[in-house]
Amino acid sequence: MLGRRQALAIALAPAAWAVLAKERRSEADKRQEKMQELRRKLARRTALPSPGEEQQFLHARAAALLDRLKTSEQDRYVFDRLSRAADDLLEASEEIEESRQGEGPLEAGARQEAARQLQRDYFRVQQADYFAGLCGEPDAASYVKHSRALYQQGRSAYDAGQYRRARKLGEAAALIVSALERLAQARLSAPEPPRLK
Amino acid sequence: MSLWPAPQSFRAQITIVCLASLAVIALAAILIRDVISRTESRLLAEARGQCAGACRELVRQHRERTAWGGDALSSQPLQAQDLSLRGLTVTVLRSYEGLEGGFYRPEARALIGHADGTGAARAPAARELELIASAARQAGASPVAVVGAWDRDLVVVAAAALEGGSGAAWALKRLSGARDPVGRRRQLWYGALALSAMLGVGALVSLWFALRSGVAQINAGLRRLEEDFGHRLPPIAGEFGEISRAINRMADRRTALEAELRRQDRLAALGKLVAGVAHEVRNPLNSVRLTLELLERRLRKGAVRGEEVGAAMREIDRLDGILARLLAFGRPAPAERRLQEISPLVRQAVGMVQEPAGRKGVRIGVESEQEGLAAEVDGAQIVQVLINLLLNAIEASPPGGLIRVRQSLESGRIALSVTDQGPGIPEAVRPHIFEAFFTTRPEGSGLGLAVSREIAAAHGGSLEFDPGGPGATFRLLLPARRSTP
Repeated sequence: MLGRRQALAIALAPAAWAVLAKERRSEADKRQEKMQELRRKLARRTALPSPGEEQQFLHARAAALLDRLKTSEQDRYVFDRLSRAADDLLEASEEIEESRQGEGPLEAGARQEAARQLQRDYFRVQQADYFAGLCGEPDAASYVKHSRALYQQGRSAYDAGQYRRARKLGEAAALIVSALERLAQARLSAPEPPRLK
Repeated sequence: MSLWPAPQSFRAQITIVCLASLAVIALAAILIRDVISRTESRLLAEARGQCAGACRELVRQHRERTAWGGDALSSQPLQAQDLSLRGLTVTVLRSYEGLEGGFYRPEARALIGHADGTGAARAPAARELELIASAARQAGASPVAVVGAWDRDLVVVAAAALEGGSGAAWALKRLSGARDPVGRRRQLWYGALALSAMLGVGALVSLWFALRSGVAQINAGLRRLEEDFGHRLPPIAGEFGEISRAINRMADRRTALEAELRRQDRLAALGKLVAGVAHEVRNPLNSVRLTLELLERRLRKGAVRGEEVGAAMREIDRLDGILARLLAFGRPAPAERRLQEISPLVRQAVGMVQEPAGRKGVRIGVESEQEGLAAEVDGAQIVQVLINLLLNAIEASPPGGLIRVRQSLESGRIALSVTDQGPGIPEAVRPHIFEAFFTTRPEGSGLGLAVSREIAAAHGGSLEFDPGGPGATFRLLLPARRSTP
């Protein structure tokens, strides 16, 4: 004879299974949506005329990451890190694109704001080597190279008084390092940091 | 001009030098200790400054990282946060060589983003973790530094609170073990100091003994030389050897000079001797000649008398006596020296002159300041000298007078003095009293004092006339030796 608890559990099991399946479908749907969004972004970026050397590299790496996302759908954390890395690369491309637009009227404090941001971006670019060593990408050095090149262009723009362009290029450089950081996080195999006893 | 009265004693000078050297060593030890202490303090201050600076930079970069767009650090898994913050720490600590750092999460009691400037930091030891936690608990907006010391190892940790109370940034510097320049320098300094102190003390002790030994040998040699001028200092190594050889050369030169002086004295004396001999021999010869002429006349007359022959014989005996003394003066009998006490010789000489002294009613008193005085002498010759002196004293003494014979030790020499109560020796005569054939008495030969002085010189001593005091005093000086047991 089944007890009341067992009978209740058997009765509720199909309902619980239905809830869990729905959640799983919801997660999968979200990932699909994310992938769709990234594909659209990539398509918009690649559709732009005359992309620069850095943009071509960024688009190629973003496309490769989108391919990897297909095989990482089951690992929520890895999918999240890779998708954010691809997002960073496409945003970097967008920042480069925006840097080509006109400067517009010079706002008060634009120079100081550009200097502060370039300082932050410089520190970020300095971290590129460390994350490149951990990310496991075969062309990690190219990420570092383009990040540095973009920062240098931003620095030159700052010297030329093009503060908006300087901020955009600096931001693009920092986003590449951010992508490297996320790629390194995606393949994290480091042990848990020690806990004090 | 010397500002400081230098001590005369060589030993005192050496002692002062040794004490001064030890004082220098002690002062050097204190100075080195002070320098090391200051170096330690300086290194600690530098480490505190470096750690505090690194902390400030970590806090600033953490703030920038948190403010930067994208997904928030705190929303990521701990491992992902750790990696991101390690990248930040590595970049900050590239400018701080030898430092490690990271972040401390008090709610998890965990270190996060731990790295050094190379990205190859080793996990902190348990005691270092405790130190980091302690610094993080005390941390405020400004960095707080704490120092841990284990054996000779020092660890400096600074921590500063992160904004929003999310933990603390920390930086650590180890001043420990073989990498610790303080410890190594301390060991090197102390080792070098101990070695140099040992060498210095050893050198001082060695110098002390070498100098003391050298001075003792020179002193002993000089004392012996004072007693016996034929003695020479033994060979000594080093500078003292130079001194020893110089003293020996001086003694050789003095001996040679004395020999030369004696030779010249003899030559001078020879001239006087010849004159004296001529004078002394002519008188008896004249007397003998007159006697023989008288005898010849009496023989012709057949009235020979025995008294004239006897007078001639006495004059011939007198001539024989003069010649015997001359031989003794010119060629003294070889001495047969042996170590013996002087007192018996004095008593023997006094005994032998008791008869002529008694005839004149002169008393002889013997005094001795020190018993057991001994010398390496020919007893018979010394007795002969003493008899000569005593006979002269008896001759000069008034009837019922007293002759004092005194024995004493003066500067390592035995002094025998004979003093009479006579009129003394006139000052004009004194330079000639030791010359052969010089005499103030009609029946004197003038050879007694000359022969006596030769005997004294042959014994390494001297015979002197003491001009002080009433009466005449002659002093015979002889090198002293230990008394025979």
